[in-house]
Amino acid sequence: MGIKSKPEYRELEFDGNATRHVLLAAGPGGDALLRVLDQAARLGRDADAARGPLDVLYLPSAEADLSMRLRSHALGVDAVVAPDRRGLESALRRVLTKAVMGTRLYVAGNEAFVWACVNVAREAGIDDDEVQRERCGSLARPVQCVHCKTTDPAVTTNIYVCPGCGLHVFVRDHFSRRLGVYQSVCVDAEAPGEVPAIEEVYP
Amino acid sequence: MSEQATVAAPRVKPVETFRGDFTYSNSPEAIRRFPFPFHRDDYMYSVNIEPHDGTPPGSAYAPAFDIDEHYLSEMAERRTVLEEDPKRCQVLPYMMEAQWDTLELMMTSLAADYPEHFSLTRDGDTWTWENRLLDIRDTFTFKDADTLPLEPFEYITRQVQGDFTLHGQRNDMLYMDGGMVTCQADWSLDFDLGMNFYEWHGPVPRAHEMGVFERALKYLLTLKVGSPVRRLNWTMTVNPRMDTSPENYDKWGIDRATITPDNVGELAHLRVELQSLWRLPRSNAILFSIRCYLISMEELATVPKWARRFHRVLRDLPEDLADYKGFIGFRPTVLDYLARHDDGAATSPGGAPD
Repeated sequence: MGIKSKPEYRELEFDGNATRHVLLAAGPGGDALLRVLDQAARLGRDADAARGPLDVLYLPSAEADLSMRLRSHALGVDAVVAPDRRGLESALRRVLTKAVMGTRLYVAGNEAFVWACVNVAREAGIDDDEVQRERCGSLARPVQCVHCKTTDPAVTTNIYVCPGCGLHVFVRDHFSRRLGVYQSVCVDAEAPGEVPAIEEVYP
Repeated sequence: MSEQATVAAPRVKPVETFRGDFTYSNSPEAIRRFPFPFHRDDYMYSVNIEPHDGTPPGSAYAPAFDIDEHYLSEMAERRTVLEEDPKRCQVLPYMMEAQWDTLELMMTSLAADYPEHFSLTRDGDTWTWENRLLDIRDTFTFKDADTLPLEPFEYITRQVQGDFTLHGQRNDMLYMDGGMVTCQADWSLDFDLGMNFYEWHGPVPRAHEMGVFERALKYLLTLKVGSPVRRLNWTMTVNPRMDTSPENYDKWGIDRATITPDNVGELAHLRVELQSLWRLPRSNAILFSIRCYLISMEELATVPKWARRFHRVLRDLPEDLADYKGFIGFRPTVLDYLARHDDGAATSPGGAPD
């Protein structure tokens, strides 16, 4: 059994009971949004009024850019395409000022993106459990060095050299939702220089 | 809380160190009152919670918050740690009520248990707190944070031995909503802040599968004001080092490689946490007190029963627990040392010395 703080993810699914929908994705996560939009479309025109407003916020990445497909989706949603994560987060804050009871968030992307969005939502008073989360694309982990608190946004290996303090640090499964990061700890503190083989485990 | 003083005024030593030259040691009296955590010759995780009810008189368990001969040393160590790393004390913004609850509980308890050292005078909301050990005398308005030099939780926990965490209770769950954590056994408040009960216990092996945390949480959710509870936890530490934080693991981890047959009696320490849990009256939060005691193997061996029993407990501890607790590497050396003090004689029940 893994560490209990390690977050779980599942496929996004359109929630017909929600009164407002906010869809967020980065890069390949756009595919997950297209799937949710298809599900919404299947409910048909008659459902439109009951379905409530639906916002789509998208951040293209080097891995994938699905802006065109999101914009041209049959549901006719006016997708906001952000230039960077900061832009997407401000757009999300604006959308959430209009949030009502029954608002559902759907987030798809890599872990750094997912938890950045969850934290913006939390500041707006939306509980983590009201946010659907799907991990897409790279398994790279956002990791914070416990010694110098420097965060590396995309670690793909079991051990890496911390860009802040230069120590060889090991990536634990222990995860902080508040910080949106895994924790890394010095790997050779008890035997300096004895660094185990570095392997790509989060490709 | 005690109705009357349950302990004599402890003799308080001048400042000793928990780092660098490590001058910390226990007097014979401190050894006798050490909260030895093993009631039998074997050990396994259990919820092992009992009322924190002022018993047995004269023991380390009797006071609400135990003040002992190491008071000045531990408060000096806390100041040093906070200077290096202010994030060791953090409280989430919505916990202000719990901060005042904590301050009130600690001030009234210390003044009742140790009237020679602490006093609290209350005139409506105007309170005067006197801590003669640290030469502090402050008059402030209860619930007006601007009248104290620090936020109430930090102000008071800089004056009480032990680490402290604050836990809000929402939807049948407890959260890590604040703490003063400077003498911890390898966990990070800054990282765990905001986590729920299962998340912050995530790294502990075995206990999840055994259902220990489900039972403990269920029990704690019903904790009542005025009926605090306690339990003991333990590990081993090399040198009398209080700050075994993950933040500084890159500096103290190397200590584990320094144990030899010649120095093991002096360097290897049993580290016991006397943990007590308090429901706070206004905020309905829980205050968790983690009071740390350190005793070297040499000092432990002055109590024959403890050396025998600790030898047996340590020898029979499963590998994964020894690994999690961080002493699997030097366990054999400690066992060799303790074996010399274990003649195989039967031990009496309970943790107290014979």
